[in-house]
Amino acid sequence: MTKGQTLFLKILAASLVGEKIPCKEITKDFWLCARKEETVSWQDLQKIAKEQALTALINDYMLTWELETMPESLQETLQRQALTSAMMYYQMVNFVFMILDIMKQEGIYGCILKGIGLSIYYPREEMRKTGDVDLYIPNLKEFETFCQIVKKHGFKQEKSITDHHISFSYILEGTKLELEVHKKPINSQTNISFNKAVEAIFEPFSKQGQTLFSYVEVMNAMVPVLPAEENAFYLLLHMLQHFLNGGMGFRLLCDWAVFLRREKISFQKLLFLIKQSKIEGFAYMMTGLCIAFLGLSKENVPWMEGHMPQMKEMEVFLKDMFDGGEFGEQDRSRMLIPMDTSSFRAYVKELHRQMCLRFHRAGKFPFLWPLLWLATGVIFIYNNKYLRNTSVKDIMKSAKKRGKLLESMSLFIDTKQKNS
Amino acid sequence: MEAMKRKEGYMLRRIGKSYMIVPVIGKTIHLKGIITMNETGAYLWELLEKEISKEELLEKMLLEYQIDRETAEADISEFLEKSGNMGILS
Repeated sequence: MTKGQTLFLKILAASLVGEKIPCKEITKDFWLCARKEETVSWQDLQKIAKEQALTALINDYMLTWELETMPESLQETLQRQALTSAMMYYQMVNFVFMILDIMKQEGIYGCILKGIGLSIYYPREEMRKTGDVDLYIPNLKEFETFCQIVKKHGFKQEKSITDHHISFSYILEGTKLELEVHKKPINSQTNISFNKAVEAIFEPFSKQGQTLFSYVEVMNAMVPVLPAEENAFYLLLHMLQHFLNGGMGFRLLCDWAVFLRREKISFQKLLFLIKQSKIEGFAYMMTGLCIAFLGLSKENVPWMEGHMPQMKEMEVFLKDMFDGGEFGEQDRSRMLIPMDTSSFRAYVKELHRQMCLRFHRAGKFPFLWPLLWLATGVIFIYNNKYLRNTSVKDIMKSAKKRGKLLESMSLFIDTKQKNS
Repeated sequence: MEAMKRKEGYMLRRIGKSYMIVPVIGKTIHLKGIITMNETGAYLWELLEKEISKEELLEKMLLEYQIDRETAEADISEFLEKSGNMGILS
């Protein structure tokens, strides 16, 4: 880790707890933009925070705790930025309230995934960046009805290559906002037994969602969310989904850390869900990172006893997070990650999954598959060259490297089987 | 002495180094009605949760901050005038 990355993690941890930390690095020189090799500057910190979509959180911490040496002109700039972040958050809250009202009018049951339902776990909820609203409507019939209804309310359907949600946009007071209506919590993955396990865990919500949802208070109103254990499990799935695609950054890890710290969770139940879907290795890695770098107390996660990953393993994962930025956007060669880097079959399975996502209707007819595989391959090569400005070779290299990281977490492998 | 109180439906939020009073009416946040204030304003707002007179506000403020009576009186008058104009006190 660089000195900038180390300081970033230190400040990030403090901002999640809402406390001042002693930082000898922050002197009057720190704020100067000139970069010196031996020291960390404000510029270094801002670059990392921007790549991780955590600027508001970091800058709010600095404004609250580090005013002694901060130049006044910078204080004014950061204050303006903080107010803008707060206004954007309030607009997003209004958008959620509006969506929940439509659902109530139509008698449709659903809950908010992450977003403002998670912001409340932060010391200052306005400072968690919320890009869109994710609404989960587990009953398929209600999901389809709602997707038709929102169009009548002025929502415009957007293109999306995924099988678990439909995207909409809406103009609220001159600002374009996005809504993703989910019928499933995450995208289908290449591992069928994992998909089935996840489906079985969320199945009860499609039948009796309205009685199972929990509620959190956001700006004086009650917002439906998943029950604590399923919510925690969903956060893991969401991180995993991004890790398996381009990569996951620190924003998602912060969500995990604050949720574990502030929510009352039955760990027995959570562990059962994690074991059912065979993602223990990933859960231990994510939680271990929160303990080691984001200030999560071991007392908050007693189930981690004896499962703390090795520091060396965590550092490899951290590097992947820093290199990729939020959702792996800093590295254009990232887009897939095979489950087994030594097998050609794993790459073919990934091609098939991508084909199913892109052509989800035509993909239901096996006789069309050869043609659709070819089309998916051509689109893949075209997009690499003209949209991502990278080569297939670089993507495969990155996939192999990240695949090895995945193998170290024994994902989707029965731990009993692995140990025997 | 006339007692006053803040109206229902407003939330005090700290943003960076300043404070905001955010009107939440029904299930809508009125973005155009958001008022920003400094730490002293936020302190007075907190005191106005219960009915309180101007004199009581002054006494509490003098206990909390190390400022002279004249400055405190001026600050309170300015705050009450602005808040009255915005209709956030009853």
